[in-house]
Amino acid sequence: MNTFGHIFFANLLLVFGAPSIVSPTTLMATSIAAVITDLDHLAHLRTALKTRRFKSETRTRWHELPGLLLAMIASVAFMFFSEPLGRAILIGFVSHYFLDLLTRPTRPFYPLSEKVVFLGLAPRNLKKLTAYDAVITALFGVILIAGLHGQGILSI
Amino acid sequence: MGRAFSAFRMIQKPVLTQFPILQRVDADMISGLSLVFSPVAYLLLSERAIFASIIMVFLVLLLDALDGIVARAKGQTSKDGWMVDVSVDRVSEAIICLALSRVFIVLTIINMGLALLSCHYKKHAIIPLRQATLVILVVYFVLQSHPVFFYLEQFLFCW
Repeated sequence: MNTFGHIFFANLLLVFGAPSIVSPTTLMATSIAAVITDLDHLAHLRTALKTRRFKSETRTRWHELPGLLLAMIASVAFMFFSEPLGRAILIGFVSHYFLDLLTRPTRPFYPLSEKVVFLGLAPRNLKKLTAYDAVITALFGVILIAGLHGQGILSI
Repeated sequence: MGRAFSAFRMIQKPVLTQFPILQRVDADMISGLSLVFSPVAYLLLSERAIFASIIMVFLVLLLDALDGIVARAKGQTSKDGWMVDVSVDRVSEAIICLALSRVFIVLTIINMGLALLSCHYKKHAIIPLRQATLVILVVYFVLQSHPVFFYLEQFLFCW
């Protein structure tokens, strides 16, 4: 999923799932946690610009289940310092892996296994995938704005 | 135990003849559907809609079981299928545990570690966490007027 899709979906889970901890700080923390996993793509940016997509080979171990395991441990450790912030970070990380596993080919057990997993719930064709991503991202964005408006954080 | 297992295998083939739609559906896609329902279960748990969350977690588990049944009935069982199943299960668990107490988050972490070890040592060892959550939710729902309810609430939802 694209960066905005990750940010919107993570914040959706925060706003609708944990409304008691929603604040500008937790929204920011969730957004950062939702995209920080994608930093490993940067090393492959030049290739991605040519092929117009990040292939599953561009995902390091920190972008798969071992990374999620580490992210969850870090989030729980953070909860001892600040429960809302730890929860917000956890939501950001988990939502990222969720969306990627659902819509992209991934290698969940990398480096233990190179097996690529694709659940078939998103198109593989680049044009169709771009349209699919755009629609889903717009949908997440609209629902998020409505949710933030409902919480009184954003006034339209 | 062996007889029960072979009886279970015998009902797998008729599943495909009874529900012809399953012949056209890929087992991985059913796993994906079970994953799609996990955030719904998380949102319902967050809202303390216990009955609805019981139904949703049950649906997630049902779809999770169905993908295995379909894969076996179609003869598509492989180590690759196991990886799809386990990775979907772990992420689904991680999403559902977001609404629950730290105990469940820690158990999810342990389960994820066990999944990685299972892949490394080629031996399946997992805590049936979602199944346990479902049982606890049913008990929680049934005992709403019982004094033990307070402790269950603390165990399940206290942050």
